[in-house]
Amino acid sequence: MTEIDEPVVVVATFYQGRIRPVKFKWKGRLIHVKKVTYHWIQKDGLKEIHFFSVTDGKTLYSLAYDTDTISWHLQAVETEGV
Amino acid sequence: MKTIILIDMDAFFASVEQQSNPALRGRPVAVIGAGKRTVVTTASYEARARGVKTGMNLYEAKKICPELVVVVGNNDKYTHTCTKLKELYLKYTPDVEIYSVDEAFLDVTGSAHLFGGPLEIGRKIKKEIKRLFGINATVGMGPNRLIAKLAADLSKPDGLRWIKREEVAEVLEDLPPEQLWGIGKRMAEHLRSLGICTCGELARTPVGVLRSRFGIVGEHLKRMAQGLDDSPVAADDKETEDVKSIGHSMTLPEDVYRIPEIKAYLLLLSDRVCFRARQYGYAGKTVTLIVRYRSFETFSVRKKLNSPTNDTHRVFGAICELLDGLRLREPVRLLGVSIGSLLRQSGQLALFPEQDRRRRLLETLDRINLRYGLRSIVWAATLEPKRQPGVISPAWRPEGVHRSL
Repeated sequence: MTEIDEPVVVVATFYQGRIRPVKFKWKGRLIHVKKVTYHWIQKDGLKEIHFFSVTDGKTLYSLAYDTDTISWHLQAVETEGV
Repeated sequence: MKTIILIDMDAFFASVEQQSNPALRGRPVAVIGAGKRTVVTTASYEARARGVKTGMNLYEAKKICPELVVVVGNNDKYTHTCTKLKELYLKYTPDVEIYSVDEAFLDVTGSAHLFGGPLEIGRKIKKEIKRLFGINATVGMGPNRLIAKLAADLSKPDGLRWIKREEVAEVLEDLPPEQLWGIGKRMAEHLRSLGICTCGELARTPVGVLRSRFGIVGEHLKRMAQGLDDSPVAADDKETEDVKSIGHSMTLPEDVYRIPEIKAYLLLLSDRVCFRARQYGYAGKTVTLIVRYRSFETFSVRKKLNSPTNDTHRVFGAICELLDGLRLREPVRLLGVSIGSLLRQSGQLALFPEQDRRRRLLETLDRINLRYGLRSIVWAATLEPKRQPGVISPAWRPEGVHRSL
Protein backbone atom coordinates (compact mmCIF):
# COMPACT_ATOMS: atom_id res chain seq x y z
CA MET A 1 0.00 0.00 0.00
CA THR A 2 1.19 3.52 -0.75
CA GLU A 3 0.50 5.91 2.09
CA ILE A 4 -1.59 8.96 1.08
CA ASP A 5 -3.12 10.41 4.27
CA GLU A 6 -5.18 13.15 2.59
CA PRO A 7 -8.58 14.50 3.62
CA VAL A 8 -11.23 13.47 1.08
CA VAL A 9 -14.90 14.17 0.46
CA VAL A 10 -16.89 10.98 0.87
CA VAL A 11 -20.54 10.18 0.24
CA ALA A 12 -21.57 7.52 2.73
CA THR A 13 -24.68 5.96 4.17
CA PHE A 14 -25.23 5.83 7.93
CA TYR A 15 -27.96 3.26 8.51
CA GLN A 16 -28.87 1.08 11.49
CA GLY A 17 -25.57 1.81 13.19
CA ARG A 18 -23.53 0.91 10.13
CA ILE A 19 -21.43 3.21 7.99
CA ARG A 20 -20.84 2.45 4.34
CA PRO A 21 -18.79 4.65 2.00
CA VAL A 22 -20.49 4.86 -1.40
CA LYS A 23 -18.20 7.16 -3.40
CA PHE A 24 -15.38 9.65 -2.84
CA LYS A 25 -13.47 12.29 -4.72
CA TRP A 26 -9.70 12.03 -5.04
CA LYS A 27 -7.39 13.91 -7.44
CA GLY A 28 -10.47 15.38 -9.15
CA ARG A 29 -11.80 11.91 -9.91
CA LEU A 30 -15.02 10.44 -8.54
CA ILE A 31 -14.39 6.91 -7.32
CA HIS A 32 -17.39 4.62 -6.88
CA VAL A 33 -16.99 2.03 -4.13
CA LYS A 34 -17.87 -1.33 -5.59
CA LYS A 35 -17.16 -3.34 -2.45
CA VAL A 36 -16.12 -2.81 1.15
CA THR A 37 -13.68 -5.68 1.61
CA TYR A 38 -13.04 -5.09 5.32
CA HIS A 39 -14.11 -2.76 8.08
CA TRP A 40 -12.56 -2.33 11.50
CA ILE A 41 -12.60 0.17 14.33
CA GLN A 42 -9.66 1.59 16.24
CA LYS A 43 -10.72 2.85 19.66
CA ASP A 44 -8.65 5.44 21.42
CA GLY A 45 -10.21 6.80 24.57
CA LEU A 46 -13.74 7.90 23.68
CA LYS A 47 -12.69 8.47 20.07
CA GLU A 48 -13.34 5.90 17.35
CA ILE A 49 -11.78 5.70 13.92
CA HIS A 50 -13.56 3.48 11.40
CA PHE A 51 -11.29 2.01 8.75
CA PHE A 52 -12.60 0.69 5.46
CA SER A 53 -10.73 -1.29 2.83
CA VAL A 54 -12.70 -0.55 -0.33
CA THR A 55 -12.33 -1.31 -4.01
CA ASP A 56 -13.70 0.20 -7.19
CA GLY A 57 -12.96 -3.08 -8.94
CA LYS A 58 -9.49 -1.97 -10.06
CA THR A 59 -7.73 -0.44 -7.08
CA LEU A 60 -7.82 -1.02 -3.33
CA TYR A 61 -8.19 2.06 -1.11
CA SER A 62 -8.04 2.47 2.65
CA LEU A 63 -10.48 5.10 3.98
CA ALA A 64 -10.69 6.31 7.59
CA TYR A 65 -13.63 8.04 9.28
CA ASP A 66 -12.87 9.87 12.54
CA THR A 67 -15.98 10.07 14.74
CA ASP A 68 -14.43 12.83 16.84
CA THR A 69 -13.71 15.29 14.02
CA ILE A 70 -16.41 13.89 11.68
CA SER A 71 -13.91 13.76 8.85
CA TRP A 72 -12.74 11.31 6.21
CA HIS A 73 -9.16 10.58 5.16
CA LEU A 74 -7.78 8.54 2.33
CA GLN A 75 -5.12 6.59 4.19
CA ALA A 76 -3.52 4.51 1.47
CA VAL A 77 -3.86 3.12 -2.03
CA GLU A 78 -2.81 -0.32 -3.22
CA THR A 79 -0.64 0.24 -6.22
CA GLU A 80 -0.32 -3.41 -7.19
CA GLY A 81 -3.98 -3.58 -8.19
CA VAL A 82 -6.82 -5.77 -6.97
CA MET B 1 -24.23 -33.66 29.19
CA LYS B 2 -21.40 -31.13 29.13
CA THR B 3 -20.54 -29.80 25.67
CA ILE B 4 -17.70 -27.46 24.87
CA ILE B 5 -17.06 -25.83 21.51
CA LEU B 6 -13.71 -24.48 20.36
CA ILE B 7 -13.72 -21.98 17.52
CA ASP B 8 -10.31 -21.65 15.95
CA MET B 9 -9.85 -19.10 13.18
CA ASP B 10 -7.90 -20.57 10.26
CA ALA B 11 -4.60 -18.73 9.63
CA PHE B 12 -6.34 -15.76 11.23
CA PHE B 13 -4.10 -12.78 10.45
CA ALA B 14 -3.34 -13.98 6.91
CA SER B 15 -7.02 -14.72 6.21
CA VAL B 16 -8.04 -11.22 7.38
CA GLU B 17 -5.42 -9.71 5.08
CA GLN B 18 -6.56 -11.84 2.15
CA GLN B 19 -10.13 -10.75 2.79
CA SER B 20 -9.12 -7.06 3.03
CA ASN B 21 -7.15 -7.18 -0.18
CA PRO B 22 -8.69 -9.42 -2.86
CA ALA B 23 -5.37 -9.38 -4.76
CA LEU B 24 -3.90 -11.57 -2.02
CA ARG B 25 -6.53 -14.30 -2.27
CA GLY B 26 -5.19 -17.61 -3.48
CA ARG B 27 -1.62 -16.37 -3.13
CA PRO B 28 0.96 -17.41 -0.51
CA VAL B 29 0.90 -14.67 2.13
CA ALA B 30 3.06 -14.19 5.22
CA VAL B 31 2.09 -11.70 7.91
CA ILE B 32 4.98 -10.18 9.82
CA GLY B 33 5.17 -7.78 12.76
CA ALA B 34 5.81 -4.07 12.47
CA GLY B 35 9.26 -2.52 12.99
CA LYS B 36 12.26 -4.53 11.94
CA ARG B 37 10.76 -7.92 12.74
CA THR B 38 11.33 -10.40 9.96
CA VAL B 39 9.68 -13.42 11.51
CA VAL B 40 6.51 -14.90 10.02
CA THR B 41 3.63 -14.40 12.48
CA THR B 42 1.06 -16.23 10.38
CA ALA B 43 1.24 -17.89 6.98
CA SER B 44 -1.76 -18.39 4.70
CA TYR B 45 -2.65 -21.96 3.78
CA GLU B 46 -1.20 -21.37 0.30
CA ALA B 47 2.11 -20.42 1.94
CA ARG B 48 1.94 -23.35 4.36
CA ALA B 49 1.51 -25.72 1.42
CA ARG B 50 4.87 -24.43 0.13
CA GLY B 51 6.54 -25.04 3.50
CA VAL B 52 6.29 -21.57 5.09
CA LYS B 53 5.70 -21.86 8.83
CA THR B 54 4.96 -19.54 11.73
CA GLY B 55 8.16 -18.41 13.43
CA MET B 56 10.23 -18.83 10.26
CA ASN B 57 12.70 -16.14 9.34
CA LEU B 58 11.55 -14.10 6.34
CA TYR B 59 14.76 -14.80 4.41
CA GLU B 60 14.25 -18.53 4.88
CA ALA B 61 10.55 -18.24 3.94
CA LYS B 62 11.35 -16.31 0.75
CA LYS B 63 13.97 -18.85 -0.17
CA ILE B 64 11.53 -21.77 -0.14
CA CYS B 65 8.66 -19.68 -1.53
CA PRO B 66 10.00 -16.84 -3.75
CA GLU B 67 6.47 -15.75 -4.74
CA LEU B 68 5.57 -15.15 -1.08
CA VAL B 69 3.68 -11.88 -0.50
CA VAL B 70 4.72 -10.23 2.76
CA VAL B 71 2.20 -8.09 4.64
CA VAL B 72 2.88 -6.09 7.80
CA GLY B 73 0.21 -7.04 10.33
CA ASN B 74 -2.42 -4.58 11.55
CA ASN B 75 -3.22 -5.31 15.20
CA ASP B 76 -6.29 -3.06 15.29
CA LYS B 77 -7.84 -5.03 12.46
CA TYR B 78 -7.36 -8.33 14.29
CA THR B 79 -8.43 -7.14 17.73
CA HIS B 80 -11.56 -5.49 16.30
CA THR B 81 -12.44 -8.73 14.49
CA CYS B 82 -11.88 -10.70 17.70
CA THR B 83 -14.17 -8.32 19.62
CA LYS B 84 -16.89 -8.71 16.99
CA LEU B 85 -16.46 -12.49 17.03
CA LYS B 86 -17.03 -12.49 20.78
CA GLU B 87 -20.31 -10.59 20.26
CA LEU B 88 -21.34 -13.32 17.83
CA TYR B 89 -20.47 -16.14 20.26
CA LEU B 90 -22.42 -14.47 23.06
CA LYS B 91 -25.60 -14.95 21.03
CA TYR B 92 -25.30 -18.67 21.73
CA THR B 93 -24.08 -18.80 25.34
CA PRO B 94 -22.94 -16.43 28.07
CA ASP B 95 -20.05 -18.79 28.86
CA VAL B 96 -17.46 -17.60 26.35
CA GLU B 97 -13.75 -17.67 27.02
CA ILE B 98 -11.56 -15.79 24.56
CA TYR B 99 -8.55 -18.02 24.95
CA SER B 100 -6.41 -16.09 22.47
CA VAL B 101 -6.93 -13.59 19.69
CA ASP B 102 -7.93 -16.42 17.31
CA GLU B 103 -9.38 -19.08 19.62
CA ALA B 104 -12.45 -19.13 21.84
CA PHE B 105 -14.10 -21.76 24.01
CA LEU B 106 -17.88 -21.82 24.40
CA ASP B 107 -19.69 -23.87 27.04
CA VAL B 108 -23.02 -24.63 25.35
CA THR B 109 -24.14 -27.26 27.88
CA GLY B 110 -27.12 -25.20 29.00
CA SER B 111 -27.99 -23.54 25.71
CA ALA B 112 -27.39 -26.13 22.96
CA HIS B 113 -31.02 -27.35 22.99
CA LEU B 114 -32.21 -23.81 22.19
CA PHE B 115 -30.34 -23.78 18.89
CA GLY B 116 -30.84 -27.33 17.63
CA GLY B 117 -27.80 -28.91 19.34
CA PRO B 118 -24.03 -28.29 19.38
CA LEU B 119 -23.48 -29.28 15.76
CA GLU B 120 -26.09 -26.77 14.61
CA ILE B 121 -24.44 -24.03 16.73
CA GLY B 122 -21.09 -24.90 15.14
CA ARG B 123 -22.58 -24.72 11.64
CA LYS B 124 -24.32 -21.42 12.33
CA ILE B 125 -21.20 -19.81 13.80
CA LYS B 126 -19.07 -20.92 10.86
CA LYS B 127 -21.65 -19.55 8.43
CA GLU B 128 -21.94 -16.23 10.28
CA ILE B 129 -18.15 -15.78 10.44
CA LYS B 130 -17.95 -16.38 6.69
CA ARG B 131 -20.82 -13.94 6.05
CA LEU B 132 -19.55 -11.17 8.33
CA PHE B 133 -15.80 -11.39 7.75
CA GLY B 134 -15.37 -13.64 4.71
CA ILE B 135 -12.93 -15.87 6.60
CA ASN B 136 -12.97 -19.52 7.63
CA ALA B 137 -13.02 -21.01 11.10
CA THR B 138 -12.63 -24.56 12.32
CA VAL B 139 -15.07 -25.67 14.98
CA GLY B 140 -14.32 -28.56 17.33
CA MET B 141 -16.77 -29.96 19.85
CA GLY B 142 -16.37 -32.35 22.73
CA PRO B 143 -17.27 -33.16 26.33
CA ASN B 144 -14.46 -30.89 27.59
CA ARG B 145 -11.91 -28.33 26.43
CA LEU B 146 -9.20 -30.91 25.73
CA ILE B 147 -11.38 -32.95 23.37
CA ALA B 148 -12.93 -29.87 21.73
CA LYS B 149 -9.40 -28.66 20.95
CA LEU B 150 -8.47 -32.10 19.57
CA ALA B 151 -11.62 -32.17 17.41
CA ALA B 152 -10.64 -28.80 15.92
CA ASP B 153 -7.00 -29.80 15.41
CA LEU B 154 -8.04 -32.99 13.62
CA SER B 155 -10.36 -31.20 11.21
CA LYS B 156 -8.40 -28.09 10.19
CA PRO B 157 -8.79 -26.08 8.02
CA ASP B 158 -12.43 -25.04 7.64
CA GLY B 159 -13.50 -28.11 9.62
CA LEU B 160 -16.43 -29.03 11.83
CA ARG B 161 -16.16 -32.04 14.09
CA TRP B 162 -17.91 -33.28 17.19
CA ILE B 163 -16.18 -35.98 19.22
CA LYS B 164 -18.90 -37.35 21.47
CA ARG B 165 -18.12 -38.73 24.92
CA GLU B 166 -18.67 -42.33 23.74
CA GLU B 167 -16.23 -41.83 20.82
CA VAL B 168 -13.36 -40.38 22.85
CA ALA B 169 -11.59 -43.69 23.68
CA GLU B 170 -11.72 -44.83 20.04
CA VAL B 171 -10.36 -41.52 18.71
CA LEU B 172 -7.54 -41.47 21.26
CA GLU B 173 -6.52 -45.14 20.95
CA ASP B 174 -3.98 -44.77 18.12
CA LEU B 175 -3.34 -41.05 18.47
CA PRO B 176 0.28 -39.97 19.12
CA PRO B 177 0.34 -38.21 22.55
CA GLU B 178 1.84 -35.00 21.11
CA GLN B 179 -1.39 -34.40 19.22
CA LEU B 180 -3.05 -33.68 22.55
CA TRP B 181 -3.15 -30.06 23.66
CA GLY B 182 -0.49 -29.63 26.34
CA ILE B 183 1.80 -32.52 25.40
CA GLY B 184 4.87 -31.21 23.60
CA LYS B 185 7.39 -32.96 21.38
CA ARG B 186 9.89 -33.32 24.23
CA MET B 187 7.34 -34.97 26.51
CA ALA B 188 6.32 -37.26 23.64
CA GLU B 189 9.97 -38.31 23.28
CA HIS B 190 10.14 -39.12 27.01
CA LEU B 191 6.98 -41.20 26.65
CA ARG B 192 8.39 -43.01 23.61
CA SER B 193 11.50 -43.86 25.63
CA LEU B 194 9.10 -45.69 27.98
CA GLY B 195 7.57 -47.51 25.01
CA ILE B 196 4.45 -45.36 25.04
CA CYS B 197 3.64 -44.25 21.49
CA THR B 198 -0.12 -43.70 21.56
CA CYS B 199 -2.70 -42.16 23.88
CA GLY B 200 -4.25 -45.62 24.23
CA GLU B 201 -0.97 -46.98 25.59
CA LEU B 202 -0.56 -43.95 27.85
CA ALA B 203 -4.08 -44.40 29.23
CA ARG B 204 -3.31 -48.03 30.10
CA THR B 205 0.05 -47.29 31.77
CA PRO B 206 -0.20 -47.67 35.57
CA VAL B 207 -0.33 -44.28 37.23
CA GLY B 208 2.53 -45.31 39.57
CA VAL B 209 4.88 -45.75 36.61
CA LEU B 210 4.01 -42.32 35.25
CA ARG B 211 4.21 -40.66 38.66
CA SER B 212 7.65 -42.13 39.35
CA ARG B 213 8.89 -40.82 35.98
CA PHE B 214 7.10 -37.46 35.73
CA GLY B 215 5.98 -36.63 39.29
CA ILE B 216 2.50 -35.16 39.69
CA VAL B 217 2.41 -34.44 35.96
CA GLY B 218 2.28 -38.23 35.42
CA GLU B 219 -1.24 -38.45 36.80
CA HIS B 220 -2.31 -35.53 34.65
CA LEU B 221 -0.85 -37.19 31.54
CA LYS B 222 -2.87 -40.34 32.18
CA ARG B 223 -6.07 -38.33 32.59
CA MET B 224 -5.36 -36.49 29.36
CA ALA B 225 -4.82 -39.77 27.50
CA GLN B 226 -8.20 -40.91 28.86
CA GLY B 227 -9.72 -37.74 27.40
CA LEU B 228 -10.51 -36.29 30.84
CA ASP B 229 -10.34 -32.56 31.57
CA ASP B 230 -12.22 -30.73 34.32
CA SER B 231 -11.01 -27.22 33.50
CA PRO B 232 -13.96 -24.85 33.17
CA VAL B 233 -14.61 -22.36 30.40
CA ALA B 234 -13.54 -19.12 32.08
CA ALA B 235 -16.15 -16.64 30.91
CA ASP B 236 -15.29 -13.00 31.55
CA ASP B 237 -17.74 -12.54 34.41
CA LYS B 238 -16.42 -15.67 36.13
CA GLU B 239 -12.71 -15.29 35.56
CA THR B 240 -12.29 -12.13 37.58
CA GLU B 241 -13.31 -14.03 40.72
CA ASP B 242 -10.38 -16.28 40.23
CA VAL B 243 -7.77 -14.06 38.57
CA LYS B 244 -4.21 -15.04 39.45
CA SER B 245 -2.08 -12.52 37.67
CA ILE B 246 -2.19 -9.56 35.34
CA GLY B 247 0.54 -9.39 32.75
CA HIS B 248 1.60 -7.82 29.54
CA SER B 249 4.32 -8.90 27.16
CA MET B 250 5.71 -7.35 24.02
CA THR B 251 7.79 -8.62 21.14
CA LEU B 252 10.10 -5.66 20.59
CA PRO B 253 10.27 -4.02 17.15
CA GLU B 254 13.93 -5.09 17.06
CA ASP B 255 16.22 -7.05 19.37
CA VAL B 256 17.59 -4.84 22.13
CA TYR B 257 20.63 -5.24 24.34
CA ARG B 258 21.08 -1.77 25.88
CA ILE B 259 19.86 -1.70 29.50
CA PRO B 260 18.41 1.87 29.39
CA GLU B 261 16.34 0.93 26.34
CA ILE B 262 15.19 -2.31 27.99
CA LYS B 263 14.18 -0.31 31.06
CA ALA B 264 12.15 2.11 28.95
CA TYR B 265 10.17 -0.82 27.54
CA LEU B 266 9.76 -2.23 31.04
CA LEU B 267 8.35 1.09 32.26
CA LEU B 268 5.83 1.01 29.41
CA LEU B 269 4.86 -2.58 30.27
CA SER B 270 4.69 -1.85 34.03
CA ASP B 271 2.41 1.08 33.26
CA ARG B 272 0.10 -1.05 31.11
CA VAL B 273 -0.08 -3.79 33.72
CA CYS B 274 -0.77 -1.35 36.57
CA PHE B 275 -3.32 0.57 34.49
CA ARG B 276 -5.23 -2.68 33.90
CA ALA B 277 -4.91 -3.67 37.56
CA ARG B 278 -6.29 -0.30 38.62
CA GLN B 279 -9.20 -0.56 36.16
CA TYR B 280 -10.21 -3.93 37.60
CA GLY B 281 -9.46 -2.98 41.22
CA TYR B 282 -6.55 -5.35 41.82
CA ALA B 283 -3.17 -4.94 43.49
CA GLY B 284 -0.37 -7.52 43.32
CA LYS B 285 2.17 -8.67 45.85
CA THR B 286 4.54 -10.47 43.48
CA VAL B 287 6.21 -8.99 40.44
CA THR B 288 7.53 -11.10 37.56
CA LEU B 289 9.89 -10.16 34.76
CA ILE B 290 9.86 -12.30 31.61
CA VAL B 291 12.75 -12.17 29.15
CA ARG B 292 13.06 -13.88 25.78
CA TYR B 293 16.41 -13.84 24.05
CA ARG B 294 17.03 -13.61 20.31
CA SER B 295 17.45 -17.42 20.36
CA PHE B 296 13.89 -17.74 21.78
CA GLU B 297 15.27 -18.98 25.11
CA THR B 298 12.77 -17.65 27.65
CA PHE B 299 12.95 -17.32 31.41
CA SER B 300 11.33 -15.40 34.23
CA VAL B 301 12.42 -14.02 37.59
CA ARG B 302 10.13 -13.04 40.44
CA LYS B 303 10.17 -10.80 43.47
CA LYS B 304 7.84 -10.52 46.44
CA LEU B 305 6.86 -7.05 47.63
CA ASN B 306 6.15 -6.16 51.23
CA SER B 307 2.63 -4.95 50.38
CA PRO B 308 0.31 -5.26 47.37
CA THR B 309 0.51 -2.51 44.78
CA ASN B 310 -0.75 -1.30 41.41
CA ASP B 311 1.46 1.79 41.40
CA THR B 312 3.41 1.90 38.13
CA HIS B 313 6.62 3.14 39.72
CA ARG B 314 6.66 0.64 42.57
CA VAL B 315 6.20 -2.21 40.10
CA PHE B 316 8.75 -0.70 37.73
CA GLY B 317 11.21 -0.27 40.63
CA ALA B 318 10.90 -3.95 41.53
CA ILE B 319 11.25 -4.96 37.87
CA CYS B 320 14.43 -2.87 37.57
CA GLU B 321 15.87 -4.59 40.65
CA LEU B 322 15.13 -7.94 39.01
CA LEU B 323 16.74 -6.81 35.75
CA ASP B 324 19.81 -5.44 37.55
CA GLY B 325 20.28 -8.86 39.13
CA LEU B 326 20.54 -10.52 35.71
CA ARG B 327 23.47 -10.90 33.37
CA LEU B 328 21.91 -10.81 29.93
CA ARG B 329 23.72 -13.17 27.59
CA GLU B 330 21.95 -12.25 24.35
CA PRO B 331 19.95 -9.38 22.83
CA VAL B 332 16.38 -9.39 24.04
CA ARG B 333 13.50 -10.19 21.69
CA LEU B 334 10.53 -10.11 24.07
CA LEU B 335 9.85 -8.60 27.47
CA GLY B 336 6.99 -9.24 29.85
CA VAL B 337 5.85 -7.86 33.18
CA SER B 338 3.21 -9.34 35.42
CA ILE B 339 1.91 -8.90 38.93
CA GLY B 340 0.59 -11.85 40.91
CA SER B 341 -0.73 -12.83 44.36
CA LEU B 342 -3.54 -10.44 43.58
CA LEU B 343 -5.83 -8.88 46.13
CA ARG B 344 -8.99 -6.92 45.54
CA GLN B 345 -8.44 -3.33 46.60
CA SER B 346 -10.63 -2.55 49.58
CA GLY B 347 -10.60 1.22 49.21
CA GLN B 348 -8.77 1.57 52.50
CA LEU B 349 -7.45 5.10 53.05
CA ALA B 350 -3.72 5.67 52.83
CA LEU B 351 -1.88 6.15 56.12
CA PHE B 352 0.51 8.81 54.83
CA PRO B 353 -0.47 11.93 52.82
CA GLU B 354 2.22 11.17 50.21
CA GLN B 355 0.56 7.81 49.41
CA ASP B 356 -2.78 9.51 49.00
CA ARG B 357 -1.28 12.14 46.70
CA ARG B 358 0.30 9.41 44.61
CA ARG B 359 -3.00 7.50 44.35
CA ARG B 360 -4.84 10.64 43.20
CA LEU B 361 -2.13 11.37 40.63
CA LEU B 362 -2.48 7.86 39.12
CA GLU B 363 -6.27 8.10 39.11
CA THR B 364 -6.05 11.41 37.25
CA LEU B 365 -3.63 10.00 34.68
CA ASP B 366 -5.96 7.03 34.13
CA ARG B 367 -8.97 9.30 33.66
CA ILE B 368 -7.12 11.38 31.05
CA ASN B 369 -6.04 8.28 29.16
CA LEU B 370 -9.51 6.76 29.26
CA ARG B 371 -11.04 9.96 27.89
CA TYR B 372 -8.46 11.01 25.29
CA GLY B 373 -6.91 7.66 24.41
CA LEU B 374 -4.16 5.48 25.82
CA ARG B 375 -0.77 7.16 25.75
CA SER B 376 -2.37 10.64 25.71
CA ILE B 377 -0.34 11.26 28.83
CA VAL B 378 2.70 9.06 29.37
CA TRP B 379 5.87 8.76 31.41
CA ALA B 380 8.54 10.74 29.56
CA ALA B 381 10.95 7.79 29.43
CA THR B 382 8.53 5.89 27.17
CA LEU B 383 8.17 8.65 24.60
CA GLU B 384 10.30 7.34 21.75
CA PRO B 385 7.91 6.48 18.92
CA LYS B 386 9.59 3.21 18.05
CA ARG B 387 8.46 1.75 21.36
CA GLN B 388 5.33 0.30 19.85
CA PRO B 389 4.59 -3.40 19.98
CA GLY B 390 5.48 -5.10 16.73
CA VAL B 391 3.43 -8.23 17.16
CA ILE B 392 0.15 -8.68 18.96
CA SER B 393 0.33 -10.85 22.05
CA PRO B 394 -1.38 -14.21 21.42
CA ALA B 395 -3.06 -13.76 24.80
CA TRP B 396 -4.85 -10.62 23.64
CA ARG B 397 -8.55 -10.52 24.55
CA PRO B 398 -11.30 -7.93 24.07
CA GLU B 399 -11.65 -7.16 27.77
CA GLY B 400 -10.99 -8.49 31.25
CA VAL B 401 -7.87 -9.94 32.75
CA HIS B 402 -6.30 -13.33 32.22
CA ARG B 403 -6.43 -15.86 35.00
CA SER B 404 -2.74 -16.33 34.58
CA LEU B 405 -0.03 -15.00 32.32
